[in-house]
Amino acid sequence: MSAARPDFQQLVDAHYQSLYRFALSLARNESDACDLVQQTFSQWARKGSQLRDPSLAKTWLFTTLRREFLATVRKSARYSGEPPGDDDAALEPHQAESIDAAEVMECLRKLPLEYREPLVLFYLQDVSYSEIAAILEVPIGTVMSRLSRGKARLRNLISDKNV
Amino acid sequence: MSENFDKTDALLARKLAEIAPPGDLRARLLSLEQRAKVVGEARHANWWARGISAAAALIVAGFVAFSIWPHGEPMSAATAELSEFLSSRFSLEMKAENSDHVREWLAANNPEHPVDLPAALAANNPIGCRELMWRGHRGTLACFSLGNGKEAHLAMFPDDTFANPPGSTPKVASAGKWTRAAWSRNGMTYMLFVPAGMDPVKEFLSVLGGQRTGKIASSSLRSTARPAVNASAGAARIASPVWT
Repeated sequence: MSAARPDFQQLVDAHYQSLYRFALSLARNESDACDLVQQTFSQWARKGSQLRDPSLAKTWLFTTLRREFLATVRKSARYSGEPPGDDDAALEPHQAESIDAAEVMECLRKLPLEYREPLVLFYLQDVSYSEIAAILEVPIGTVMSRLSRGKARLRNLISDKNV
Repeated sequence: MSENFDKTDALLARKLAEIAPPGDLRARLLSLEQRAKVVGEARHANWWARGISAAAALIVAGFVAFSIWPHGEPMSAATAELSEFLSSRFSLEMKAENSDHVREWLAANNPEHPVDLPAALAANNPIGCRELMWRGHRGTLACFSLGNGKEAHLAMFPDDTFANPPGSTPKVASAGKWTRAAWSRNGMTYMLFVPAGMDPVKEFLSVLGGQRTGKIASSSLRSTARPAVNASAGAARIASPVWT
């Protein structure tokens, strides 16, 4: 049984904040993030009706946003650079408590894209593992391994920040 | 996901959830549907139905646009953000083999306004075209190679994108690595970006669409550079632009 097709406003209200946070982790600044979200919903306004299964709307939106990002932004130096090590960091919750949201985003942005994407989607808590795999167009096993490594790297970054 | 979601994950997720989108983003997004309807109806309806539905939709869209974006976007913001975008590496939707391909693509992607590509610009080797989406406004971009690794980029948006469209005489401004000339023609605002140090008016705009330009208006943007602009041979004498 397929779900009822959500109207445009329902879709915006349900997902634009999560999409914005995902976009902000990919883009250089708020303005670029807003543009990515607008491009995504603009695509939906023009092509969304072609989606046969309305239950896939959320995955479609995240996938489209990611493709828009990859299509318009080069893989420049800020996405490579020297990544932090993989060693499992012993980050205690109280250490994470001491940094604010902007610092969390700053640490996420320091991660290579392959770890940043699944990690942000994971922390949005709005997207399942299988949906993350569909959005990133990789097998679910790859999602799991990237999440594991990404978490370790993120915790290292946060831990370093607290030193 | 709960089995792999520990206390630290929960904390980081909460931090991430604290990041709020800009206050006007939702309104901008909601207006996109109406715009898409207008374009879709204008393209697909029968001619008589098209006229009626487009008129109705335009009234609604006009009301929405008026209520949400009463003042349009500032040209200065477009210049600054486009210059930054053009300085990055970006993809093209269409790789052009010649300027006719560019003209055809621009015409197909700007059905509402006739595109007037400056002949002196079109004489250069075209690279390709792409769509632009800026602050919810749809535009198009054509890119040309000037040789020696230099490029010129012509961005086009409908005049109503901007609060202060530049008018028919090119306004010149410095924008980071670029010099930008902006002008309006037949409902479309053009922004030509050439490498800083080049004079876009002298090089490409001395004759616009077969008509000679008049006095160049001053820019509303600040610039520290003051390159000289000379009248090109054979073209109408052009007054030096005022750099403010």
